[in-house]
Amino acid sequence: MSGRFPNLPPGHTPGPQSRRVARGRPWGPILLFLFGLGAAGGAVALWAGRNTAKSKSGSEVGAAVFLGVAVLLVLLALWLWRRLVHPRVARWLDVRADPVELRRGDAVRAALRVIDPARVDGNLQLGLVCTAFHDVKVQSTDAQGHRSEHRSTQRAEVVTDWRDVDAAAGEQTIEFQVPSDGAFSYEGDTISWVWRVSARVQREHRSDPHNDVPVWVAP
Amino acid sequence: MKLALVVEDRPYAAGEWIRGRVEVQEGGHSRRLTVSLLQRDRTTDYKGVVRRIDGPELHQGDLEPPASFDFSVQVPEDAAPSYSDGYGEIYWELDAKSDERGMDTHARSVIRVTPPQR
Repeated sequence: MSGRFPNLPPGHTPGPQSRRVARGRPWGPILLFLFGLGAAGGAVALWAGRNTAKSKSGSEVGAAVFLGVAVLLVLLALWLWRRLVHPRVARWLDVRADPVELRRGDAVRAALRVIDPARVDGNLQLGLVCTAFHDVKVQSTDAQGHRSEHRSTQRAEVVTDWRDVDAAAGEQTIEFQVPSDGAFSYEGDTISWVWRVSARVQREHRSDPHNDVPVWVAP
Repeated sequence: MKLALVVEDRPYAAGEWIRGRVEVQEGGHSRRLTVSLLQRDRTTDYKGVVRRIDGPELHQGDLEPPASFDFSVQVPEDAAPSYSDGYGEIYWELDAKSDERGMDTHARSVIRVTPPQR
């Protein structure tokens, strides 16, 4: 599994769509971080110039406000970066798949061992999932009312087979059947189908901690 | 310029040869006439080319009707089969192209590639 392409098992090259998505810059967190640095600079300037300012206390309050805004912006940038670029992987869910190279109609054995059962604060599941990454046109309108279109890669789960497992039961193995007439692994230009064995903890109103093992399903 | 592609309308397996002909229905200036087999995919909003297998050059110079050029192109051994669901489609396409100054003239035909036998 490659760091830049965690969807792909070893030995498989990414397609044009995967490479295009990987090249995309996460501008939101980068801009927030830069604004945060700017606010921190403003705070330093106000603090350094407080003795020559008309109102010393005003400068000090201003510096504190700028510093607070800077901290908030940097924290928001870090939070967004983790969500968008490096989603947290639940490494305490040790999940394995065998084999990782199979064909439609074959079975794959998924094994799960929970390293830290105390962290399971929801419904623990093991599953086989196929996701379609498909390109669509998205329209947006700026503040001046100008419309523009851009290409967006959206994801949709086309096969989901989730089974509940017991966190306290030690290592568990479940055999999943890949549908014989469904999607196969494909790295394309406008669409890709990606298969994975996944363990997750389903939680209400919060993101689900998960750990995935990509598998390659040949036609 | 007007071209037509004539190909047997049936599914093809990976590794199989597609044989057909390009018919010149209306002539015109051309630099060369070629045939390619393209692996393509599409969603409701976009189309893309993933792979191109260039066939032989069928003719050089201007095209005059009536003329017909036979060709054969092999489907790759590792060809992805045709597939579609509600989000997108993988398909193969034969593309006969007359290379011209300005806009080229094309005749295209979708080829259905079957999954490998188990």
